[in-house]
Amino acid sequence: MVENGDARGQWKSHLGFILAASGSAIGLGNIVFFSANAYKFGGGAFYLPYFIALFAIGIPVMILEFGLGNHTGLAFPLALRKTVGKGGEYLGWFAIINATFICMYYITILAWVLGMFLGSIFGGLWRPSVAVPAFGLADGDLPNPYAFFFNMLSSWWVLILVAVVWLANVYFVRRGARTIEATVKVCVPMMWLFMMVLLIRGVTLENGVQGLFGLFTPNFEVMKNLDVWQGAFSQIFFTLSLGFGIMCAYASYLPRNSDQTNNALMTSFLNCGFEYIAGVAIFTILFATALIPRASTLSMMFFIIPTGIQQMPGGHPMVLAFGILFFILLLAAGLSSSISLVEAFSSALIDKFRADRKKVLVWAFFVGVAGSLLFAIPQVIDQTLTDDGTLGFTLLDLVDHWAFSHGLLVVGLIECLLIGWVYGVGKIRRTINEYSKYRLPRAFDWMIKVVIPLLIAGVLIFSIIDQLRDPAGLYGSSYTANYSVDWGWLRALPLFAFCLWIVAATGGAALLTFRRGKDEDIPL
Amino acid sequence: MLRIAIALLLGGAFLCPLAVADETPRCATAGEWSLCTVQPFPRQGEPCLVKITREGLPAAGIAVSVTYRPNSEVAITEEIGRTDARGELSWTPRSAGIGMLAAEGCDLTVSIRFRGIPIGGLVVMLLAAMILFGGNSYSFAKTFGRA
Repeated sequence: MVENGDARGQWKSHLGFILAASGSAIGLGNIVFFSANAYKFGGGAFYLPYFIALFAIGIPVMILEFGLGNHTGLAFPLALRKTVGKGGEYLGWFAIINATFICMYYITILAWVLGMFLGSIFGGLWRPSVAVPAFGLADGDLPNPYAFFFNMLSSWWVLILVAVVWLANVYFVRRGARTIEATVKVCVPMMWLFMMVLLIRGVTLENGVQGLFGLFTPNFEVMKNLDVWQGAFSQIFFTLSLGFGIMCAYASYLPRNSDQTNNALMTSFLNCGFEYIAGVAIFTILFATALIPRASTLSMMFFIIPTGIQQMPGGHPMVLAFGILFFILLLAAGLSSSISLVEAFSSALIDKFRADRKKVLVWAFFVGVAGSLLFAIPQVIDQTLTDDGTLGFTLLDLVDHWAFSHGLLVVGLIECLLIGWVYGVGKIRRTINEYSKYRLPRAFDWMIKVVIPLLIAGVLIFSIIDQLRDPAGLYGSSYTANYSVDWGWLRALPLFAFCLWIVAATGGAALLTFRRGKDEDIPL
Repeated sequence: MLRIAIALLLGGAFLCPLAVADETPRCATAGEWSLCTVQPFPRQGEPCLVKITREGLPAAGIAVSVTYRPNSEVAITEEIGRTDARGELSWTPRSAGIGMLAAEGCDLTVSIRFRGIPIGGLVVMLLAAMILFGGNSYSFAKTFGRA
């Protein structure tokens, strides 16, 4: 397996791998999704369950994915094929296609971040107020971060920004582990530094320290609500980039004698440590400016935090400095995650078809740009902002709902069951223990075989029951939340998005599993 | 060069104007209605004066409600009473965090302070920091210290 790893390239240093794995895990989600979720589920009432979930699900599944990649020296689909056969490979491709869906809209969001970053540099974002002609809004109708965002969203420039972000991604993964390592060695330390600056600024604001208490003070009354636990367990799965196939791909570039338990601990602690700092920084700004986060991560990222920065004391230079800093931070975090998503499917295709990396990346660029534009173009073409959303937002919300909120959990659940019961998690545990300073006990096997599948299944069942109760149908509330008017055929959008996701992911996985690759030399 | 940049960034954050106590009332207006809290940051368990005016004049008998943790899955809304002849109402927040007062179409978001330092919050914060950053330092030392 190591021979195969050599041919695919390896990390130049152990630190490079840790930075890459933590950089993949630390993304836009750590900065805004965590804070939005923490607020949504009651702040302190959320943090304790989240912390329990880190140890109950997060670290064990991270060890499993690292162990699987390192044990086989292969990307996710072929690693699962080698361990559990064709059924495993099918799950692996499902995970990769699911992650590709996520990558497409993630890069659209990154393009919007790039637009906001340019706006904050050239000053447009921090003007007192501007009109939004596309939506018929006059000067002063909206706070400027909102107005600037909607103006940018409805401009054709966004399409160029999408292409630029894709180009950057392809450039950073052009030589696999080597170029990824060089990128994360700049991005990850920069993220930590900038987040520390925001944290210091947040806690020195009047009433800022109260935000710190708000994030951590447990509210046992609210913790009785099962939604809080469901939110916390989902959050830990998503924040650690589990179920994407990324961790398996990254660990496959490591030498066989790497300590996977320690790697998983370092990556998880770095990720959650960053989230801790990000949560404090954002909560202190929220409490100091008494802003209410709206329902989504996007609003937190593009409206609430920029509005908070705009209200900071210190005048325009300070607003400008912290605004630029915030968007550089988002860009660095987003890029270090998106390159891992691009690498996950590139390495899987390279492994299966022994394809040339350059060709795979050129193909990925064109397909990726086309996919990302699906989420960007509707806002540009349909410039009438009816109620609270546009078609593109709704499509993004729907795909996010299935691919991110459900797809990753489904992959995690089946992955644990297949490795646990079909392959035998004990084999992976013994290999990990061979080179690990901390020996995994036998209880680890039962965690993977029983406890974690039960927890994930519980979260999934709970969520599906909720959706069945939704009078608007399969996550139809996404449509009804955005449109109070009846848009005729668009009412079928939630069902269409679900079918698109399920057909593309399951059909694509079948096609890639049964298509003959040049991987016959991989012993099963 | 890098060290200078880091020093400037961290120094800049510290040297920003530090918290200056702002005692001006917080207000929200909607049309002719205005809703204010006399204390800009009410405190949990301590009475706070809420004032409602219509076209600048005190509005009596207006029902005021508060939503704790608005826009969250665990939001709680409760009526806090009606304003007296001076357009005033005494409100004692029972929960700290973000809250939203509402009356006659006016929404005012307030940040409610905790009563003292919440020990539970402090313990969770320190414990989490110790595990995350302490655990990480230990793992890093184990891995890279030897090298």
